[in-house]
Amino acid sequence: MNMKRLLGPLVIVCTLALAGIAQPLLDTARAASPDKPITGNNSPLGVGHFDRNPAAAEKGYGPVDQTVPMDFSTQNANVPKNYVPGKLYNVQVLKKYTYATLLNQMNYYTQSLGVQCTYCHNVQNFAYDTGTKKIARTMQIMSNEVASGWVDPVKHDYPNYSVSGAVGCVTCHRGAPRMGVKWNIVPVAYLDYKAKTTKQAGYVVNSMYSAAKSLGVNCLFCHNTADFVSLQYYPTNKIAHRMWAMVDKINHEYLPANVKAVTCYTCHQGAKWPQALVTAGLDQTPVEAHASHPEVHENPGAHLASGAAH
Amino acid sequence: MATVITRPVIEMPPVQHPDPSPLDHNDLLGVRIGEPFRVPFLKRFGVDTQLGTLWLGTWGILSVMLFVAGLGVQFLAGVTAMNGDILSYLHYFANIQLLPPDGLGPAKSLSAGGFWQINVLLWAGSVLCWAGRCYERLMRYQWRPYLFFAWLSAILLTATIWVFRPLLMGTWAEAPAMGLNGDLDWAQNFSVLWGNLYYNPWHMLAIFFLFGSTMLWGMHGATILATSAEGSHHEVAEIKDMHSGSHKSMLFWRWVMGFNANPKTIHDWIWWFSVGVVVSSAIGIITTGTFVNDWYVWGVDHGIVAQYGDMTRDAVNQRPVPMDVNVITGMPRP
Repeated sequence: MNMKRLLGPLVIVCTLALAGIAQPLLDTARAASPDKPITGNNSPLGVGHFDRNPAAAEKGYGPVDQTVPMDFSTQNANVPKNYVPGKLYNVQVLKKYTYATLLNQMNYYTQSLGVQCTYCHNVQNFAYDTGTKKIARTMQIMSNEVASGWVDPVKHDYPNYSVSGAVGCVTCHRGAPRMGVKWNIVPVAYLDYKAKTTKQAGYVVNSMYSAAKSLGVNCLFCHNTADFVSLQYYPTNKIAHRMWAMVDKINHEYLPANVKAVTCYTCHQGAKWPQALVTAGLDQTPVEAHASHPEVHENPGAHLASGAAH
Repeated sequence: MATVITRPVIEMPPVQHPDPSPLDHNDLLGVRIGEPFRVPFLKRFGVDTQLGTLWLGTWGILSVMLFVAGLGVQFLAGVTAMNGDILSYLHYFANIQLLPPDGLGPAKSLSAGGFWQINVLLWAGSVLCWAGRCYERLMRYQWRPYLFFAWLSAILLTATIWVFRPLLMGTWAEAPAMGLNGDLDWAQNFSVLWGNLYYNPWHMLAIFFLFGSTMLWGMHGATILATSAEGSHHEVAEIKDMHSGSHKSMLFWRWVMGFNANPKTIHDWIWWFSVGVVVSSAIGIITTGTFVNDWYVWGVDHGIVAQYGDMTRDAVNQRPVPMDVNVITGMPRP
């Protein structure tokens, strides 16, 4: 037998074997250092997971160390040194709550984030402001802002596109205190034709892909693809622009300076509307989200063909 | 062994042809290297199996050196972007891009476009040296420089995309990034930012030439292969003779479509179609952003866009849609 005949099959087998060995090696190596930051991305935007520093983001996070003695010199005047259970002190945001409804709200926080009281509170003195508690307060302010300033106006202006349920803690957190980051997007200013060059347009296009993947849709959900830039007729396009501005505001005003991690995926997680919605008001019970007019989500450009107004 | 191409491959020892041109000895590196040998598996596919010898030459050596140096810079820049992590480099290999710098001057740093500028110089030098090698061989044979101009037209399109148009637009950021996805992303981003490229008439013409040249290649290749049983691959002798394979090929096309090329003019057809692809592409590229801001709007203005409904009126609030400003923000288009 001519041994040269074995050469071709040998090459194929060796290639497959190498590929089979290399991928587990790569996976193992990456699993060994999952948080290793990858910098050097020369994007001028400075957003997204490429530029985040996990070590810096670690500060002020995590459960409160209950063994650290309280330092009342850093606290405001409403924090009592002699804490009496059953009374409300130092309530800055949830002022409309009674003691019973506030407990209900706290219970809702723990379920939404999958944590215990000790994650935010010093259990010797629940009024004592810890770093995590301050973040939680900011998050509650942000949640109110998202509902009253962004989501409700969209529901009012585009009733056909509204969805039952309201945004709550669980909509983003889904039972975990910290969320993974998936895909990154440019600031909303870049959507307003700040992209002057093809290179900058690339940042916007990549962000559009992450937005589309986050919602499980394609370009046609918001765009007339004959001309992406100038022909923007779809209501979904205008809604997306508002949501994008909301994400920008969340990242720049409510999150810590070194964490600009909120993207479309944070709430949507692959669905056209977030699945983990809640009933609005004090009792934030999770509800099943359903659209008032699912047909417009299926074909947001239908009104163009018919010529009818939205 | 029988293959789909039933052309016989003559079994004979590999041939060291005599030097075709005594002028070769004028070049310091104008030597041929290697012993000719036959590649074992190629015979099964019915193609020529001899490899070697290879003619070196100053231009060729320079071209290969510059190209390999560019590959090295590409690898170095990619690993640098991944903080020296080879595994990350492999993991993100397809998505690692060397972005061009903003503005026209030299880049501020290596990672902010410096690598890109170095590589543009290296690879431009490489393809130009290869053109020189091509021209040198043609001149040594005293041939007409068709091959040289075909390669130059390919360089013309590349240089238009990477150099000429960025110069006209005033920023290197108009050029593609370097990397596996760089060209693909550039084609997408270019079309998104400067209007739908399918409405660019020069793009249409380039596609006409591209598909046309593949059709011509299909016709020519099929005709020669079909009549090779009658000896049509012996073109020189065949052209002169009646009832030969080449003669019957011409009769075949004349009877099928009323017109035929001859063994010379078919290559004229194919050469001009191939060159037409890149030349019309280059014209389409150079006019984008310089003379035409948005090819879709250009298509609307020139009546090649089908109008579905009243596209000039916003379907939501029924107000007129200005075509030269952003509908959402009211800001003027670039």
